[in-house]
Amino acid sequence: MNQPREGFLGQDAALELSVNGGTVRVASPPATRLADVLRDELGLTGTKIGCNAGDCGACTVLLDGRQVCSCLTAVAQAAGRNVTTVEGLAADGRLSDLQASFQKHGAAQCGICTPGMLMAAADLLARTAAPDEAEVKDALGGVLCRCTGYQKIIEAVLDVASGPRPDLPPAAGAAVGARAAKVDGIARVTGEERFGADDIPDDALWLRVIRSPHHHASFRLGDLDAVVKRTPGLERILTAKDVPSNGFGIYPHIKDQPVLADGEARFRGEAVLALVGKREAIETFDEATLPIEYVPLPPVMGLDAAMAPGAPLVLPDRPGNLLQDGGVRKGDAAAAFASCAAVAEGRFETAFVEHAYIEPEAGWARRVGKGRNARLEIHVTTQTPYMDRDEMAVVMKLKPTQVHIVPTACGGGFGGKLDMSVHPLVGLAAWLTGKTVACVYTRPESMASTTKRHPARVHAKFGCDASGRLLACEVDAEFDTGAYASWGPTVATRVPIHATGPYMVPNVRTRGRGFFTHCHPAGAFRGFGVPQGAIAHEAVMDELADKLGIDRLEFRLRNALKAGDATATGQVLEHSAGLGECLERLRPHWQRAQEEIAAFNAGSANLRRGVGIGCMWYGIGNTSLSNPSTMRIGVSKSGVVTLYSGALDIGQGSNTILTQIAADAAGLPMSTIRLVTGDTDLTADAGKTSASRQTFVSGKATELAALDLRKKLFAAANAPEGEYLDYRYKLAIEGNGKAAQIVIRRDGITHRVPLKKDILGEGYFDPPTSPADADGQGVPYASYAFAAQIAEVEVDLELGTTRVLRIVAAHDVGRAINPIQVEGQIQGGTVQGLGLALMEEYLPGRTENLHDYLIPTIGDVPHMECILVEDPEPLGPYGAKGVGEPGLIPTAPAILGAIENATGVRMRQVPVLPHRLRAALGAPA
Amino acid sequence: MMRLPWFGFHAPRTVAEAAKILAGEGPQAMLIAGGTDLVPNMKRRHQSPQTLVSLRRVDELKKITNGSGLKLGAGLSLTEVIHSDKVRAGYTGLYQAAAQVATVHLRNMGTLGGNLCLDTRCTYLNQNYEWRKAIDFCMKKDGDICWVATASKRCLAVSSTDTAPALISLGAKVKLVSSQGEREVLLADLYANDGIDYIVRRPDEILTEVSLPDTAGWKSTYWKLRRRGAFDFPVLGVAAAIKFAPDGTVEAARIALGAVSSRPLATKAGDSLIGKKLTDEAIAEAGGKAQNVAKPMDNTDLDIYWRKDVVSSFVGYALRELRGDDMRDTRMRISRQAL
Repeated sequence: MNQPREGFLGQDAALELSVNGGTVRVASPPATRLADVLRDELGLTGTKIGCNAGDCGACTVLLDGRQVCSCLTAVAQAAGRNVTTVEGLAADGRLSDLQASFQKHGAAQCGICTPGMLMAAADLLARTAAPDEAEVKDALGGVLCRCTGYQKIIEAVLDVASGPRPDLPPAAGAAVGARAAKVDGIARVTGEERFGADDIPDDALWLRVIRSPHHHASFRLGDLDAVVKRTPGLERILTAKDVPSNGFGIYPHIKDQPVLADGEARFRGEAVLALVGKREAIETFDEATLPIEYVPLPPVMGLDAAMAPGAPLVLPDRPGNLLQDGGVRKGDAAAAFASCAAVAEGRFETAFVEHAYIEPEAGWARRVGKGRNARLEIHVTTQTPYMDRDEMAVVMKLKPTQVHIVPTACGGGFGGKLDMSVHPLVGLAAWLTGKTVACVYTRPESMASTTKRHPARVHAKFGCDASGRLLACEVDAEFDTGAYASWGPTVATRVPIHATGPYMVPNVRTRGRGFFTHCHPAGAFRGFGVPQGAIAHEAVMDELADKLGIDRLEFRLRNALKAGDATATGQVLEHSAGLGECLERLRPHWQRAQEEIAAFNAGSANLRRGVGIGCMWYGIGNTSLSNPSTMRIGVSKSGVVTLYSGALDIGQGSNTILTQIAADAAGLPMSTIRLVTGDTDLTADAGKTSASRQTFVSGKATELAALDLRKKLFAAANAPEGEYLDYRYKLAIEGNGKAAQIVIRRDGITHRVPLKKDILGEGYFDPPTSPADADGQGVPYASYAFAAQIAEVEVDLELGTTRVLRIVAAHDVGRAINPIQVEGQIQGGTVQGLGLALMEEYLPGRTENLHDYLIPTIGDVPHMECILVEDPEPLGPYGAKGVGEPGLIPTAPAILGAIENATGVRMRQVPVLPHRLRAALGAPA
Repeated sequence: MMRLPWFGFHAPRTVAEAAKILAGEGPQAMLIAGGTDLVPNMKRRHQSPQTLVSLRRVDELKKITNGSGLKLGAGLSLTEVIHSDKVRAGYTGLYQAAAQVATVHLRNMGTLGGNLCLDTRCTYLNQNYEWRKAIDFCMKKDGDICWVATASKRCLAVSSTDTAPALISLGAKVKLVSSQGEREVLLADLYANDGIDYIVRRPDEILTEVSLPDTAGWKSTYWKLRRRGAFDFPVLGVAAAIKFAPDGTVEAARIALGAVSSRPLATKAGDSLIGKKLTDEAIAEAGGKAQNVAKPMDNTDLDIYWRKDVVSSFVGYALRELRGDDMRDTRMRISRQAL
């Protein structure tokens, strides 16, 4: 663009810019955002759009070598300049040192922020070859990551100067326990990975959801056909009447959430209509011209309103607005309290918390086949393909086999992508129109319409004897579950079980209740209510320890559940209860921190430091329910080994971990194992990626599948029965095509047999649980993770601000199949826990974007140290259990304890915003 | 959801040409420099210009020249301002303010002039169209009521520029050029305490240059309070510039506040320091006076009473730094940058 552009320029005058070294001519209008041009016109979908508002940095590219936000750059502003995207980083198919370092250090989890991080880092490294940590934090400060907690990203950038290369994949038999790089990591650092919005067919119609602007309203629709007729490009407007069975929900017996509201909208952001048509037409359609007549009704907001006698009902069939009343009773808590030497109690309050994955919901659907053979195919970002399939079958009144879910890469979930989002809308639209239909949520609609962490009010009371042994526990937890059930029942049952904390308490009376309000549904969010409960029990532990003059760590150690103890539900833990070891491993850090803090505080007036400790336990998998996984691994007769995994890797690393397990169980090198994941036509049901269950449940199923394959391969080679269990026999698949062979070696002797057919191994694992009785007694989970974390904080007494300086996290994971991934889960969870404690508070109708709802930035994270305790779980693969949620749970309690330790003030409401702490401190007049 | 509307786009090479286009197009045309403020605002339909006039190719806006003090072209990116040795050496407050605006990638795009003209912001405004429609809009755009204070006759959106308070404390002037001619105004006079008409620049005028006076004898600083470690708009900005006599007595002092009003607030709090040395008592008195005039409203993040309560603390940091106290630890704690 060398000449001034005149008037209304358009198709006649294409813009020229250089992209990744090549000149391109762009037909898009001059004000089109560069991010849209890159993605939609040039097909460079490595550049991601997370917020479209400059708040998240996912769209960061280089413009003349400097990092910029491509979603805020009009393409005309880039005319004549050099644009570099993530696709331009690898030269001649060889990863740049920066990309290699990300891969080596596990800096990419889900991968959605990775391109932005890489471009910000590339800008820095071009100017400063060996930056220090402060420079890295400054340069990457504009890019948000919700998975990693940033630490591995910082380490990766710092390590670039050393010219890192990813380590070679571990040899056969050495995969489990190895710090293996992600098997699917390369595509995440090159930008080739395809997320929900990245692979939408060019011919797709687009779908735009019209949402209720009111917390509660009835509405009437006018003549929508007329709107379709008068709007070129608009093909159809979907309403509740179009939905074959207009209700979905997590539980088979609770399908209370309509796909499209039917005359009454029960939360702000609820879907009311869906416009389907050409993208340009629906995106420029003026919503104000739609004939919708809302009559706002008084909303029930908050627990007090929902629980008030005679409160209006959110759902007509839910008296008292009660969703579920769960509880556990063991012994005689009331009597036990009478005999306690010390009793402590408190009431704690938490807010709605948003998952804030950087990838908004996205997907597309099409109808495939005709007549009775017609099927619905949905490509979508999700955590749970099989649940999606079954839910879609319910909504569409189809057989489950008529629904085909093809998961895209998932750019972060944390529980928020366990509920359906775009699926029923694009599915319905595609089914009715016979055309491909796509939908990508905007950031505000993602935040307004999808689930949140349940706000909780937890009253906890614990008592102990004079030696500090816990005798009794009474907990009453109330949760705001929003307008529809979603995962509310899970929270109401899981919390009472975990409400004792990871401690041996003989007399227990706990209760968990969920209440409906006119808010977005509260659903699954990393911990299912347990993080809220942990804030309560850990604060009370601190108080009891203080009352008896016992060290807070020591008090916990005295009560820590160990093998042989019975839990609140009467379940005797037989193995793998490593809280004691976690605490012992933390003890030196605890002592060091206390000494350092005492020294610091002695010389400081306005700044006070403190250290706190938080413990947790977490039952792996569904609560008191079957939760099986089936995995398959096969060798084709041409010699290709493939793991067919229905378990979705949403960034946490299960693809890699399951491959490691498969490799060692089969006795094959992990580098030879190809992966097919998620597709419901190609894989078996492995259950959902939630409840920290994939390593434990699908991992075990993978181990069994690989063993089954090994057994069948040995049989095909006519090996004696049982020999396959002897790993001194080295298995290999050699040659390919028609020359493929099974090769078994031992002591210099080689046995070769041609592969004559495809051989498939299958494994099934359903962790043994039993249903709860009327008192909540039973075996709700087959295995529990344990953890303890220490937080060191600094409080500015004048301002009321809190800075977390350091976290030391000790986690009993049974066995760390892949320590990098385990650390990544702990660090990422910890930073989400920090957000829960200090920053994050979702206000319905107010904080619907990433500049009003604030998640931790790279500048907010402390140094984190992980201690991996391995108290093996015999049921799990190679002794492993789960770690996904445990990383988050102890953090907020540890931070709150540290604030109390620093200031003497116990904060009972999170987030601890500075004005709240300052008020609690008794601000100077 | 609405995509950016279709419009004309001009990329003139000179200020004169740009001014001519603006005059010809009338108020439906808007200037775009870095675009970091305007582009998201257009998406939310706060502004709906028919024509954009880009200043990116106007080289004369990107100069740094010596005058009696220093002249900075309005088209300099904030990154370029930060990297100017002359700015760092003589105008510390400006350097510190520019370095704390947003993030690296936004500072690479955003310009000094753009930050001075930054539209006022508000919780009830910086939302997408559907969100605003749901509250029946607000006074600043499409509605009648100010939701910050429903009885208010004027819009209470907040000024969020970091560089303006710093430049006001430094006594900066700005040049405004139109096809009719040019004028120079004291930066402090560029703004009005009205969230809608917050700037006295006419639509046909281009802010082309910032003139800074000679700073011999002056020291300056800027302190920003924001919610998170890496970036955020200010919830408070404190800029202070003081001229010291050789014995440390204050000869002149200017304290300006950001994010507590619809304009960068030039206070008289510095007056109480004149003729005194920066004792703890004098600093506390000035802090108290600044706090009294700060009027944070419910238009951005965090509790308004808290935001007011911490003004004197931040004025204290600024003045103690100018006094020569070692504030590096405090600076690191507050801004996570060495500066």
